[in-house]
Amino acid sequence: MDHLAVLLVVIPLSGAFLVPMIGRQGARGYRIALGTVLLTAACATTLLIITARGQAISYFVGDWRPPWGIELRVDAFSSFLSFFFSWIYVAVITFSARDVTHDLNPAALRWYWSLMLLLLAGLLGVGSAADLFNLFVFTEIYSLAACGIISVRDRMDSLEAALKYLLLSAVAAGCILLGISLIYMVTGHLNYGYLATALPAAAAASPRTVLAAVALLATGYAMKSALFPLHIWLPDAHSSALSPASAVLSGLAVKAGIIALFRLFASVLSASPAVVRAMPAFLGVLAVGGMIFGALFAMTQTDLKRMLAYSTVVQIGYIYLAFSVLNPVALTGAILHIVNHALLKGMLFLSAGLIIHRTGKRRIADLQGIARQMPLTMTAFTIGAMGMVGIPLTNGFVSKWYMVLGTLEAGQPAAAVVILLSSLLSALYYFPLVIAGWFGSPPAPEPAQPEGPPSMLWPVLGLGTACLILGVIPGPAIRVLGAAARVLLGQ
Amino acid sequence: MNAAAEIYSLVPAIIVLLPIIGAIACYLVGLRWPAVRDWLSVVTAGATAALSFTLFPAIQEGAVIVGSVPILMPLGLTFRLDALGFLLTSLTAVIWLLATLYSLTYMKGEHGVNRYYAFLLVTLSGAAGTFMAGDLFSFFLFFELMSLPAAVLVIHEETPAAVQAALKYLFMTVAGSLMFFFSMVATFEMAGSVALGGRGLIPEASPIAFLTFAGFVIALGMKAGMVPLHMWLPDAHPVAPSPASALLSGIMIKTGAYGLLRVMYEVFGLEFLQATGWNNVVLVLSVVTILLGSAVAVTQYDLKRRLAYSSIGQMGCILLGMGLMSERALTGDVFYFFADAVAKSCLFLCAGVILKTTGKRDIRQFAGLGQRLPVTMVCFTLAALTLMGIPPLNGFVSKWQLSVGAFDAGMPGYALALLASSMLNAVYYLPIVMTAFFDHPAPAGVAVGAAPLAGGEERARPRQPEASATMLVPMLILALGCAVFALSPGNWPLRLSEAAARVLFSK
Repeated sequence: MDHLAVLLVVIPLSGAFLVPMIGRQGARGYRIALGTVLLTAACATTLLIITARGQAISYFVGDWRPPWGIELRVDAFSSFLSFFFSWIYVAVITFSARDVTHDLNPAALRWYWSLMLLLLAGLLGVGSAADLFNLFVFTEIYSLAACGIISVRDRMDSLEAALKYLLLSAVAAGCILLGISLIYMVTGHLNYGYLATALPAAAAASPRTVLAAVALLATGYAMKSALFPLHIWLPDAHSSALSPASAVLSGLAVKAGIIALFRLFASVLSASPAVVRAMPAFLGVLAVGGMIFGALFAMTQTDLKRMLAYSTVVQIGYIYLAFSVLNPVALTGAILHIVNHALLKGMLFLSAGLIIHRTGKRRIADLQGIARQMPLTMTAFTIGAMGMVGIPLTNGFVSKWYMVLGTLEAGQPAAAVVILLSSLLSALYYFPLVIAGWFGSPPAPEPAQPEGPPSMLWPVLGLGTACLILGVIPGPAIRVLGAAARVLLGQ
Repeated sequence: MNAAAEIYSLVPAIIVLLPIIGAIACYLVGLRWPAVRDWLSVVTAGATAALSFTLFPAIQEGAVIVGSVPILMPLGLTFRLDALGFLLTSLTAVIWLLATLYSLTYMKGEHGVNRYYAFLLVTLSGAAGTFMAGDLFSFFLFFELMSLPAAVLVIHEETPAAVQAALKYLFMTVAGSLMFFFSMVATFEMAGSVALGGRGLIPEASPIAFLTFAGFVIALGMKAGMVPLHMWLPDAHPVAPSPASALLSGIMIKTGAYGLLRVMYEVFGLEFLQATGWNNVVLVLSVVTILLGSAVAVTQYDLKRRLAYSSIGQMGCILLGMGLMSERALTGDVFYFFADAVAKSCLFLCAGVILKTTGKRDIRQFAGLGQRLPVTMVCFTLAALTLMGIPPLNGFVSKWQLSVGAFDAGMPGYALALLASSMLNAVYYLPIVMTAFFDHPAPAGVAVGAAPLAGGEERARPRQPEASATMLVPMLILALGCAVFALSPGNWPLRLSEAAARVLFSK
């Protein structure tokens, strides 16, 4: 059973190699990709069942033990995220089958499948890496794969966005690598467990070096996860990518940086006082900036996908703000919000993709009365919008409840107020769209047509159902996460 | 009477669930068989009303009905139904039934009828749920379940004005619910519980406690149309179809006042508010609400807008009653919920008949309506007299109790505000009645008074039956409701109001 921990990464990685080799013609690439993702999801589900009760699986690659060997570690935190990430991937890959074949030529298509799988391998690897170097490797795998997915479209704006992302991502990677080297320099360890033990002495001996390392790591991962003001690459990248790719990039890929930060700052590096002191001030303020400015930018957008991309900046702010108070309740909310936002934003981008696929409209002003043609898609979009605002019975409400409760428990009512204010701002840019979609009058009556191919409709509806289930019956998820958050905080 | 027996029952949960199932069924059935759908919605509302009345015997004996559905949401759903909750729940279900019945004819031939009935039932579920909620969290859930779908009723006509009104309504609702959310979480954080029915949850006065109180007042006062936060109401209520306006103005805004009542007496508690004097915030705002709402109503010539502003004025009286902190005032206050709900929904239904049969919205063109629509105008008159507080009617009973309560509380000045409310009610309701009954219609082509409002063109179809029975009967029932209870010796709404006030004060 322990091998599942490594299979979680190895399966998508091998899939990524298989597709270009044997998936050249026809739909074979799609079938391999879907099979790989399903296998990964099954693996993640099993891992979640095993670890849900709080026990963790440590896997030593090649049976080389730390401090020399590579350790992979799957606990409730990472298996919970892996579970949702891989199932969202199933939805996205299913959706891609019809959508992407339109936009890409067959040669680019197999690279698309391959890169998508590579991205998944990187994302899952970030969650289960148990040493800094492998964390870095997985980070680079997913970043470069993301860059490839953006540029696979071979259009001017996509290439430009990919280049922008590549440059900033390289800067971030440099920061991360430098931070890791500094930490290795003062402690002599990369493995999380050994590092945590050695860090207090090292931090006492050379506090400035550790502080610099922490700052570099924070900057690097903040940039990877588009924390304001390092978000500038995100709107271009996410809006110019193919819609299913946007769903993955916006819903999942930006979260990898957060996952890494959570892991490092809440448990691994928290032995260093520099981390504990610098954290709230540093990340909390930036998060507030992201929540307010992201919302203001989102309001001024005319393009649907750009608006959704800016909304991601806002939601990232929520997660960071809740994390910055370092309270188990708020952290539960933050982790849950990683998943909730992944589901919601995935669904929103897929429904946007469906609208674009079906009508070719992507300007917000053109979406008047779109629900007459696409009622199911618009229902999903409405659920997504309500989740973003945090209306009860959607999953967004549950995570907001825990985030607000946690910030108040930590004695920071101002943070709670910011969270709620930002929710109101979300309503200001999501609801007009929903109202216009349902009640606006379409410019010209269109002939009745089926809403979209089932392979595109079902993933959207499936994600919508997941959002509602998590919103109505959050109990099991909360139990797993409550334990995970306490473990993460070492309480 | 004290130490009320608690009866565990899931009837409240069924009352909430039934309309939701009915809504889904109505929508699906309506796709094929519109006629079946219409009656299905009436039956659903009727069944809900009947179900709520099955609880009457237990309530009459002073029992409290509790129930819970623990699996849902972070804290689970709980229900708690006492005299106050029962009075408002059964009232809600009955008025919903009447409005649905009225809709059968009113909505015939309109667009989006399927959607209309489905959302009418969903909002019923939410409104009934708010009155039966056993904790703030459940209250919030049902509050949202009522408020957000109500936006669909507001936007029903899909005119630009309706879309504007609905957006305004939606934003203010979301802002209010976020305020409520904050206060609810803060309460949970301070008290460790959000359960209603106790004597106060908040342990001590602190800045964060005041912030919590302010959040509740803003969130719930917004829904209740309290004055600086009422802006959405005069836009949203008139643009909705008339039966929906009746529900919006008759019941839904009451949920805000009801929530505030529970928050003041059960979350903060009587002693707490008496010690801190925070109830003065509500008192001052309520007086402003009475005066401004009523005064603006005088200047409105669109009937439904005048009614909407009148609602604001009436809500001021209700808010005043709960701020006075005396048992008698509270009795009058709870009875006022009842009196205003009956009268105001009656008035909106009458307005609907006038609009539907004559196409007139401008009250300056109402000359001769008394001859043309005698039943409607009699109902209208009766309801208007109730709101003025003319002696034998419901409104008098509640205003009397409220005024006496103001003296009890040692604040007789507030009785003047109630008098002013009655007087202003007369100023803006009587001219409508006078014009309708005693003015002769001007000859065609000559405008009466100033420039008539848009949409007021004559669509006269002379000598027709006034309206169908399904429209007249609900109006008549409501109009009778304005008079019958106050005149009959077995005035059970008043008995329930007294019981409710006693329970809130005995603690």
